[in-house]
Amino acid sequence: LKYFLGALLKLYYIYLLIISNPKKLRRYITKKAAGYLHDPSSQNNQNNVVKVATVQIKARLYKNIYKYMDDMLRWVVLAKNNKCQFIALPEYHTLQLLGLLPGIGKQDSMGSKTDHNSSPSVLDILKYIAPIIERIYVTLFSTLAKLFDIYIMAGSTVVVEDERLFNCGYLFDNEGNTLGKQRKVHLMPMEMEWGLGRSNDITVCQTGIGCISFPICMDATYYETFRIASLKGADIVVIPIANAEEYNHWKALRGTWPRVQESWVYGIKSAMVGTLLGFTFSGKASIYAPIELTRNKDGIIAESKEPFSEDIIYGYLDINKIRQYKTQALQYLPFITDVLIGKRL
Amino acid sequence: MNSIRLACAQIKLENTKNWADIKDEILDIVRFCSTNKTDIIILPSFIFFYLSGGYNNTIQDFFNIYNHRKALEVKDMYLTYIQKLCKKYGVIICPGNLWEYHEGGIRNCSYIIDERGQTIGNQAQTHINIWEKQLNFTGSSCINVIKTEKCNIGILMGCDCWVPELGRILSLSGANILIGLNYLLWKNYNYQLSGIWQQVQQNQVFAAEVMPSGRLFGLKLYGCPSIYGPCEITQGQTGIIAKQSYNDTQGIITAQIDFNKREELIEKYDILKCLNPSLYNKYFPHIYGYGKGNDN
Repeated sequence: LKYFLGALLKLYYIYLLIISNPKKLRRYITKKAAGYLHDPSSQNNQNNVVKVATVQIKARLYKNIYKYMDDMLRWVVLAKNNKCQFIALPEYHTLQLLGLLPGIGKQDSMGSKTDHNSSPSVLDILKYIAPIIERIYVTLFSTLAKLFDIYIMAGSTVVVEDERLFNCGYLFDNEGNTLGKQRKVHLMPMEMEWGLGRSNDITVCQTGIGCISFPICMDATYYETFRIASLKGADIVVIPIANAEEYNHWKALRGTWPRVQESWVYGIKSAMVGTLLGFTFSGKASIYAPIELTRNKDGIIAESKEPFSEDIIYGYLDINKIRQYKTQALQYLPFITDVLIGKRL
Repeated sequence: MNSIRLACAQIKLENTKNWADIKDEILDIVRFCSTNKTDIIILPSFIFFYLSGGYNNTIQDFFNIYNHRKALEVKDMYLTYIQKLCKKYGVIICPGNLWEYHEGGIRNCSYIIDERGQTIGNQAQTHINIWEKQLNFTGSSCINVIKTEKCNIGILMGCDCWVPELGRILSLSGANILIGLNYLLWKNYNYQLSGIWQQVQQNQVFAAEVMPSGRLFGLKLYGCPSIYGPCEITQGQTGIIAKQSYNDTQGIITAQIDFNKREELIEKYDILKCLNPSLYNKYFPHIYGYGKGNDN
C-alpha cells in the first residue's frame, strides 16, 4: 500500500507539473490580459510621487489554476486602471492553491493536530506542493508586472530551499524581473511548529519608485525589522499579512503603524481575510506614513473600512518628503546604537 | 497577590502658582494615594522649576539663574522633600525630572525614591532633540533597570519614549514597569500610542506615562497621563488600563497592575522568545550579541 501511495503521489506530481507549465500559463495570462491593455499611457513618477495600491483578498480554495490567475489579474487591472505604479498582495495567498490537492478541502484545519499517524504532516503537504505553487506564483506575477508595467510585491508563498521550507515574498519590477526575495525573519509559533525556517537578512531593493523592503507579517511586531530596513535605505516597507485571529483595532495597531512612526518610512499592509483550512483571517489593507506627514495627523494615508471583505485601496507616497523627514529625524535623534557601534549602517 | 497599585499625577503648571502651592498639591496627591494603598506614585516633569524661581522667566533668563550651584540646591531641596514624603507615607515616588549640570552640559534626570526615603536609582535622558541640543543638553549612554522590592523599573525621559531600542534593552534586562516622563505640545493621542503604548506592546510590560499640563516658557502643554499594559490583559484589549482625559488638566489616575496576568500571557505567547538575534547581531553586533531569542 505504501509503495502504491508513493507511486500515486509521484504521478500526481507529474500532473501538477504539466498543468503548471510556465509557457502554458504565460500564454493564458497574456491572452487574458490583452483585453485590459487598452491604456498604454504609463503614469510617470512625477516629482517622485508614487501611486500605490494594496489588496485585501478573501481566501478560498482554488481547484483550478486559471480561476486563481483570473482573480489575481483582476487586482492588477484594478490597480493599473487607477494609475498605480505598485501593488501589494497578502501573505500566504498562494495557499489558496492547495485546492489543487484532492481532498484538501475536507481537512478540517492545518492547525489542528491529528491523531492519525498515517495523515501527512503540514510540513509534508507544503513541501510536496511548494515548488508547484512557487512556479505558478513567479510565472503569474512576473508576467503581470511586465504586461501592465507595474511593480508587484506579490505577497508571500511557501518555498523550499536547501530542503527547508520558508515563507517567502518576491518583488517584481515593471519589466517582470525578480528584484528580490525576502524570507520571513520572525516566525509565528505555528510556523515553528510546522517546521519552517527563517531568514537572517533584510532585503532592500532599489527601484524606479523608491527603495522597497518587504518583510512578512510577524516581522512587523519587531521594531528591529523596520529599523534595519530603514537604515539600509528603505523608503517604503511592505508588510503582507495573514493574521489568523479575530480583528481587534488595538491589536492591529501593534504592527506596521507604529513601526512606520519609529523608523520614518511609508508602510503598506496587504491582508488576507476570510476562512481557509480551518483558519479565520482578518485585517485591514492600509497605507501608513509618519503622523506629521498625514492630513489628519493620524499616520494613515488610506485604510480599508472593513477587516473581513475583499478590498483594494490606493494612496500617494511622496518619496522626496519621506527622505527629507528621515534625514531630519536621524539628525535630531541619533541612536543609542550609534553610541555603541560608532557608525550607522 | 503579585500585584501593585500605580498612580500617575498630572499637575498644571501655571504662573499663578508658587512652590508652596505645588508642595501642597504634591502632599494632597501623596495623601490621597496613601489612603488608596498605592505603591508607586509618578509625578510629572518640570515641578522643580518652582524651586528654581524661574517659572515666570524666559528660557534664557531661566538659565541665567539656574547655574551649577542653583541646580544642586534645587535638587537637594526637591529630593529631600520627596524623600520625607516617601518615608512618612510608605510609598515609592518617581518625582518627575531635574535638570543637572554634568561634564559641561545639562542632563535631564529622574530618580526613584523608595518607601524608606532612600534614593535607589536614577536615569538620565539618552536621546536629545534639537531644542534640547540648542540648550546644551547632553544624552547619557547608560540605561538601567532600577530594582525595588515590588517591581523592576525602567525610566524613559523626553524623546526616549519614542526610541524602541530603550524599551527593548530595559525589558530584556528584566524591567516589568516602564515610566515615561515627557511633555507634549500637541493634542494628539496618536503620539502617545506611537511611543510608550507601543513599547509596552512589543515588550509585554506595564507602563505609566506622565506629563504636565498648563504652560511652560509660553508653550501650551497637552497629553493624557496613562497606564498601559499588553492588549491581551487589559479590558477591551485596548492596552490602556487607565487614562486621564484631555479636559482634566489636573488629577490622579490609579490602577492595579497584576504581574501574574503578565506571566500567564508570556507563558502562552512570549514575544521576546521569537526575537531573531542572528539577524540583529549582523547589523547591531554590540547590542544583540547575547540576545534572549531562540535562534534555530
